Amino acid sequence: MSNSTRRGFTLVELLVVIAIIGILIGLLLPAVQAAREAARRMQCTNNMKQLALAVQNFESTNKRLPNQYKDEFWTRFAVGKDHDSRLYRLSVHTLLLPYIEQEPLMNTITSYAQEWKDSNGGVDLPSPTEGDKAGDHSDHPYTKAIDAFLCPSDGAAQQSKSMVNHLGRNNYGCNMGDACTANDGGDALKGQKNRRGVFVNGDAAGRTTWAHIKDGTSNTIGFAEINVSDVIGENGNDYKTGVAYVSGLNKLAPAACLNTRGSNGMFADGLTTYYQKGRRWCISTCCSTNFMAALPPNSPSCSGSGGQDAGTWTLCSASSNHGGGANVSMLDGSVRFVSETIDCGDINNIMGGSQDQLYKGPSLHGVWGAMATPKGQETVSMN
Amino acid sequence: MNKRFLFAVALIAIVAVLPSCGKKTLKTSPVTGTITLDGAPLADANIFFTPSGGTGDQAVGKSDASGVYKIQTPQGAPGAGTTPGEYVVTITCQKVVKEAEKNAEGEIVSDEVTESAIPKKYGDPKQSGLTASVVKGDNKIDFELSSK
Repeated sequence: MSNSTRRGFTLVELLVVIAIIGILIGLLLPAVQAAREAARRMQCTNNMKQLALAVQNFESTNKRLPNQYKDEFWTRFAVGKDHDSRLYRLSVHTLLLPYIEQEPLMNTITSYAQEWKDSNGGVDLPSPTEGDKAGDHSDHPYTKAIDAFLCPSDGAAQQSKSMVNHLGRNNYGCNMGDACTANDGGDALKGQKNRRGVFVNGDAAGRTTWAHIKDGTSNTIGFAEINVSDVIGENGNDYKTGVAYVSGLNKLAPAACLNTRGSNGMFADGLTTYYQKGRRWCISTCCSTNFMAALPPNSPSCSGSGGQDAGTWTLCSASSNHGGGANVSMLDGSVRFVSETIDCGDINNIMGGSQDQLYKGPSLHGVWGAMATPKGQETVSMN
Repeated sequence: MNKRFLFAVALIAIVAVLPSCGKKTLKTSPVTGTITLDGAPLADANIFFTPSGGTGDQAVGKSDASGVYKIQTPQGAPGAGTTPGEYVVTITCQKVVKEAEKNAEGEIVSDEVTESAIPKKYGDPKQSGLTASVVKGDNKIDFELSSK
């Protein structure tokens, strides 16, 4: 008897409940993923802030800013042999190590340099270009993965941490101006006297002090995000993470680099590409630790003469995996997000007519270029 | 019944509004054509479109082996063209005459030397004498250069 009065759930009711629960989970899951990405992004921007603050601390100690290529810190170890350049090519990031709690690593590097000097070039120095050679030493300092240089949102950067005998990667490019540039040699060296960027060649421009940052530290970019090339598959074909060779790059307007774009975020077919972007925190050349604010974020990067080696002309674009742009940190330590649609001014203009770096006037590359150049009364605001 | 009808209308309205929440994209028109130098196709030439009127967006393209180019803006997809308007066009074509030389440490001793394969005036917006007007829809604009 009681069976007829007991009220159960019908099949339809059950299905409706399951459907509702399904929809709710469907709504919730992406939100959880977004929250995780937001946390990674926060860590990423915090790293950038720490780098900008490290520059501030470097300045209070040394009364100058670090140089990208041939910083005077390294000249004390010079003995006038071939391998001197292994020290001169060390990056701003290397000089900032003591200011991001990596002092022991810096001590290792300087003790090797001192040994090199004491032996008058008799011992071999670890090379910043080779991952597995520690010279005459047991420890290769440049293979260490440093979390402060790696953005948690960049999968390739995170994956690199588990690699053995690879040079430590880097996600933050220091500001080398608003145009294609090279670190050393020929016209590039002449051009670096014009200080298009904050971190310049020490040989050409000498010391950089706050007095050179005429636009003010809150209006001048210190670092911008760059993607790390996925070297595990030796794949330099993704234009956000690779570098493509463009002949005569230094005689072309920045827009010419956009021609390397192919379909689906890859470089166009038939180009010579390199996986040098963000590949080594230790070295100052070929997009490993620098960026130029000419093309908007997430544009391709290009290199000219010499392909991927030291002294090559490069146009390294900022890029990130955050979607729609990249973060930059100002020299005062504030971090802003720069959209892909930022005003880049006249990207068809090769400033100065022949070679960008020789140009002395205010940036013609819009808000983006003005934020990168430290002088010229371009105190534009990004907001 | 009336309530159910209102609910359906509200649903349709929400679905209709959703797509317009996406980011704004440029309304570009494809631009293609052939670049020739003294009648022969000019390969590997960079072509720059700079707006000269009130409308338009900077765009750039590169010619292939048969001299055919397609242009693109930084925000648009490759080959998507640019927005309608009047443009000044500049063309540069750098050919490598000497490769870069490097030392044992892989540093550049002497830079790569490149020369312009076309008269330099074509690369100067004030002297190029090349213009284009991009209209809505497909555009086919050819450029005939002369080495004299």
